[in-house]
Amino acid sequence: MIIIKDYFILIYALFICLIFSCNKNRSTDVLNPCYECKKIDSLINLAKSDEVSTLIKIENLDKASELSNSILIDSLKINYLFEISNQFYKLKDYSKFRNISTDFLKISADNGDSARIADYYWNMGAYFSAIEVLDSAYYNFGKAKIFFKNLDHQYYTAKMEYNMAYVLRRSKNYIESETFAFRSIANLNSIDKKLLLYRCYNHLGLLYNDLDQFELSIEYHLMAMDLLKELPKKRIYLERSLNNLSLVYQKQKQYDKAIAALDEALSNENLAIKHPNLYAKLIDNRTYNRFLNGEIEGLTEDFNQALHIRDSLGNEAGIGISNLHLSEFNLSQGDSSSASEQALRANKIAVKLGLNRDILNSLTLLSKADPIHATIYMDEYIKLNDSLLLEERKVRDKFARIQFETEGYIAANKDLKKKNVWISFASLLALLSVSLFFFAYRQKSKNRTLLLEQQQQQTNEEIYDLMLKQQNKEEEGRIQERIRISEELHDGALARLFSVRISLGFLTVKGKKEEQQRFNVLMKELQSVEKEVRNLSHALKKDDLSSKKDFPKLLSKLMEEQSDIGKFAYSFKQDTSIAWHQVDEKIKINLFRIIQEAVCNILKYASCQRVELSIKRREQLVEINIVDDGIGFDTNKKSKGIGIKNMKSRARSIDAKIDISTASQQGTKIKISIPTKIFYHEPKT
Amino acid sequence: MNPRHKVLIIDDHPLICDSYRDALQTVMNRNGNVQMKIETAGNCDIAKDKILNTNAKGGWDLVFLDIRLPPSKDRRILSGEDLGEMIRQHHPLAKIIVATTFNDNYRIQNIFQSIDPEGFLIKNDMDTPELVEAILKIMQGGLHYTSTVANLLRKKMNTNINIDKTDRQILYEISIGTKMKDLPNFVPLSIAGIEKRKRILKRIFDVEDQGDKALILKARELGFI
Repeated sequence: MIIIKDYFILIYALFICLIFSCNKNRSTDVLNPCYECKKIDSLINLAKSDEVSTLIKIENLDKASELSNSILIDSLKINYLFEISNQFYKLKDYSKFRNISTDFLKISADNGDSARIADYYWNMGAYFSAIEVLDSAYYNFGKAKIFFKNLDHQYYTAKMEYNMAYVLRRSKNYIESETFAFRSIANLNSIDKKLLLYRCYNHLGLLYNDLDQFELSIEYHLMAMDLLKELPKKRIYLERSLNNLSLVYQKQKQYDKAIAALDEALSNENLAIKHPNLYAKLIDNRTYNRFLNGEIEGLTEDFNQALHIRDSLGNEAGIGISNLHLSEFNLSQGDSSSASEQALRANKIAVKLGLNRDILNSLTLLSKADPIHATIYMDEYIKLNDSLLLEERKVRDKFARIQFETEGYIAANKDLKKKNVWISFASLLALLSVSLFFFAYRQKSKNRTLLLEQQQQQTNEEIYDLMLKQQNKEEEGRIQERIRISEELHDGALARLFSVRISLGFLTVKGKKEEQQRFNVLMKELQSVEKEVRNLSHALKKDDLSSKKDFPKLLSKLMEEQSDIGKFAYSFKQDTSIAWHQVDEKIKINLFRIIQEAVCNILKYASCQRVELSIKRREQLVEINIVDDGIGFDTNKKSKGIGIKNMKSRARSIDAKIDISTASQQGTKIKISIPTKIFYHEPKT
Repeated sequence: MNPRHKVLIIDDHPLICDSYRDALQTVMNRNGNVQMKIETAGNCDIAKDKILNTNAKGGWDLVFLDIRLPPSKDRRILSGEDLGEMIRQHHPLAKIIVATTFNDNYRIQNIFQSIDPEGFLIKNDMDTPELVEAILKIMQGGLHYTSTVANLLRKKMNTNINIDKTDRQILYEISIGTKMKDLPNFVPLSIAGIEKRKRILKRIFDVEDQGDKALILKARELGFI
């Protein structure tokens, strides 16, 4: 007893502990993220702020990512990692960006977080784009696009398409780039994301410029600038667009228009202070255009202004371009030494930065400025150009292959899908047809069985009809025979008896009185014999209405037989006043069949002890009752049974009414009633 | 009474013809004045012949007529009844004694209606003295009916019920078991007509709600069949 009590207390305590610990866990779950959240949030914010150096920013982000990894709730973890990765991207630490992205991809994939998986691919696309591995960028953007499309995210889908267009243009796949740009625009049709739309237009403007389709290029640049009017935050997009426009005019050699565009861009007074790089570019371009236009005065100063700004900003690419422009200018002015110096400088920068176009341009200038070494420069130029072309072709092939493979996958997918649909359709059809066949076959066999049953019933009917007729004929024959005998007796024997008697009467008998008396007595005896013969003859002939018992005989025979088989007792009561021979054959046959059916059912289903068949006359009705003390049946269920249907239809055909009353375990009573008028075939008044 | 009676005996049993001869002889013995000339006919053809082709003077005076006879060859005379009618037609003064074995009321009534004989002898009713008695009576202008017939007539006198020949025929046919649907073959009416008559008969015989059997029994009881 005591032991159990102790155990109870122990178990009770354990139970409580468990509950508490569970609760504690849950509560810590709720508490912990908040604790870490706060830390991570503060770290990220630090990384975002402008007051901190890039190094510290990166440090903070590292810490933040570490903390994020220890978060238990996956969704929160993923969110933080994603943010951190974005910050790394902004700080251009692409390797860290990639690592963090891979981290949160794993978790996203585990959790089936397809939005985050799409983000991962987007990040990868951006990463590869940043490191100039354009085909991988294209591939990843493509994957991101698929995910976004499945998530029905129209904006991001469009964005991916824009990214892909961008990458394609960079790799000189102009036609595909154009296609994707238009796809993006199409997706942007129903959503109000004007900035992305602007970018698309801008992209198309640049694209057509590359393809020398100047009219189109200008058109799209203007459309882009039009859009900017509706944007709340313009920043420096307008100026950039104007710059792009100027490049088109420049290619077209419409330098005035180019200068005009650049002037419009430069009209923004904030540029010099807020966006010095752009400012420098604009100045540089404008000066270059003036040079191309044929101006000579004041160009060097402006070129140098731009160069100075770029120098102070450490914009190496910009410096290179400035040098190129200056070199070209000086070359035109005949200052080959300055030109070759600047070209060389530009070349070095271009090589360092891997700006192939600039390398080529610088080489061209060098060969012009330094004609002695022209061949070397030209050789280098050709080598570089050829390798670039080869590279371009390879890239294009890669892209084509990616496209082809993707398309191949898509096609294969479609194909498979189609196949699946067809297979399922075909199998459904097969199933349907099989089941149809099955049902049809079953129905057919059911019908056949029914038909056979019907036929059998019909044949039975015919047999019994014939039996009845046969009986009748037999009866008739018998009767005929009796009549014949009767007539023979009457006409033959009787007549002769009479004639003998009469003749005897005329003979005078001589003799004693006793003999005479004896003679008279004998004569009288003869007469009485005659009478008897006559009576017999009449009895034979007498077609007593009650002598024709064929129908009831048939019924009693039926009852006798069936009761023997079914092992039940039976009683057959009939009203002897019924003149069965007056009754129409059709009525008799149908009645017989109904009674027969009823008795058959009793035999099959009733399991009874006793059956009573009675034929009575009640007022204007003839009533036939078949009562059994069996197990009865459910009238609702059996109403569809063909046997009862037959009985009913037979009763209908002889204008009789049939009532079936039964209940479970309470026996069955079948009552057939015919008005006497119909029974005896009297016409209705 | 003619001094010389012409007597025709129509019966297909020669023994019975002889009996009639004996009887007539007995009559002649008793009444010496009477002279008879007796002829016989054994079947309908001969009888027909004798009826139609007798010498013109007077014709037959007395005819013994058996009802049950084999039909004539041409089937136009089917029984003694038809002959009787013929006799009445051609020999209006002749006296007919019907002698028959039939004793059902139906036939008897029919014969009365068709022949209306002076003498009606049910063969098995009578004995020799009665036969002689009957002949004597009839020759003196009287009537003689044997007991069965007399009883029938008595019954008929007592009842109020009158039914016609067709009715009686219907009753008779039903009583011998003719089916309803075959009746039009015997009775010159449609089934509807017959049904109507039957209904009326049932009313007349006061067996309205009962079956045909009751009708027949009643009709028999009252002597109609």
